[in-house]
Amino acid sequence: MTTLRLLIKNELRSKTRHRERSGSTSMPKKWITIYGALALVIVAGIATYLGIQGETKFKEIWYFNWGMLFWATARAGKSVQKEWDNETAGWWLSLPYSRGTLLTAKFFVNLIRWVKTSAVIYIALFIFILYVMALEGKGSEIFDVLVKGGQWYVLFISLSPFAIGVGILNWVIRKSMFRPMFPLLWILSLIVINILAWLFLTASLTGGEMLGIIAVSWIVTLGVVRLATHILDQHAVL
Amino acid sequence: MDVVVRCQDVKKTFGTRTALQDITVKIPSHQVVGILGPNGSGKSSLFRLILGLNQPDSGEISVLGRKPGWNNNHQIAYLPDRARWYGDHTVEGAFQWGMDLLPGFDASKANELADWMEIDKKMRVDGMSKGQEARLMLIMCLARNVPLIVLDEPFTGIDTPSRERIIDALIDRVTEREQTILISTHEIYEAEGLFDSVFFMNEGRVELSGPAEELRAKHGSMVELVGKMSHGGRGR
Repeated sequence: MTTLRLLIKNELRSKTRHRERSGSTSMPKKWITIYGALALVIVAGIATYLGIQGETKFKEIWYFNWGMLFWATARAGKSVQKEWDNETAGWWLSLPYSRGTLLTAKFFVNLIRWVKTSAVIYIALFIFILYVMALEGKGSEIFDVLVKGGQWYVLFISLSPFAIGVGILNWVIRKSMFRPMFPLLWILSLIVINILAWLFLTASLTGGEMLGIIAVSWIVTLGVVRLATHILDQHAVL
Repeated sequence: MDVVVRCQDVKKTFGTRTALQDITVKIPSHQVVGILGPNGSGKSSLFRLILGLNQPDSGEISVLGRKPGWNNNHQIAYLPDRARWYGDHTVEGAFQWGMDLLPGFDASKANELADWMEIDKKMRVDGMSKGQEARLMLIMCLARNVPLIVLDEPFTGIDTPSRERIIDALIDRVTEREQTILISTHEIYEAEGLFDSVFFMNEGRVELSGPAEELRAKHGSMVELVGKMSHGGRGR
């Protein structure tokens, strides 16, 4: 197995996000279940309300997924930050593999996890829409909505490599001599993602234009990961 | 004398703080070398340069005849200062991680050491005491067949029984004399007998160095010598 695959395998196996500090307490499972059930009741209530009202704009329900790109950025950053928070950065950075390989492994693990999370959210959202449509008596439109949602997901998953790359770069900068630049870069990153959202949501882009933007975002992602690699190699603070 | 680490006028600063000031040293190979000195004297900074985790501002450094960096680290086992192990690993999981990612990691040696250090192999790291976790981290280093082992404060915050176990493991390793072991520590009293050579660091400089026996004959015990050095004396 290649080094990259081994790093990805071990990173995927690791479930710990942030290690418990001594003296801290984790939420008991019973309460997690109670809060989960409460959230489910609230969502079901909202769905029932929407279904009774009968004026749901189903296309716009899918749009909320844009917000998930910010989540992807934050999660990617946290995957780097946890090495410092969990005091494993010394082990991670002294591995006999290039910084590029280490960060590429983090990048792919984030992407794999992100696609999985997106699939779960897509299914949950589809069930939500299905319920509302059934209440509104619009069962015949289900297939159209499912396809539209699928297209929407392909679009935003195509842009998630950029969001993940930006997240990794931001947190590498935070752990480097360039830390003062972090807030500025973070705000800039959020603005760029907002501009992307604005382009896809409001501008009437052709299929070719969308593909062009996605291709450019992938090229920029390569540059972003390379920059993060250079900073981690030359300017990281341990 | 074979040299494992060679530094020539190495300087390292972090912002306005100077960590290392024009260090020039030759660390001999196939020995246990103590890097001693008070907090902030530059011991960890020197180790990080040896591993290529940080780059010197000026000067030259070579480790096992090569420039430090990730592509030299397959030859080095490193226990970082203030490190923790991955909380969701079991001991067996940690050994699997070692086999996957650490060149020269010998799983059978690791199992032997775990038995000897009384570590339950099914135990999860986040359920371990600090001493048990420290022993596991030391095993991850000692079970590697590499020419250089770098241990940065391996005894910090560890209870006496665990410390004794660790020192016993090191003595056992030392008798095999296959490797060079660099150890920085404050626990000089217990670890003193381990060292063949010693480098005393203070304020980013190497103040004194030499074979441990010679230094003891000239200055008394290492504990006394560190005491003098920490209070500004040069001991020369």
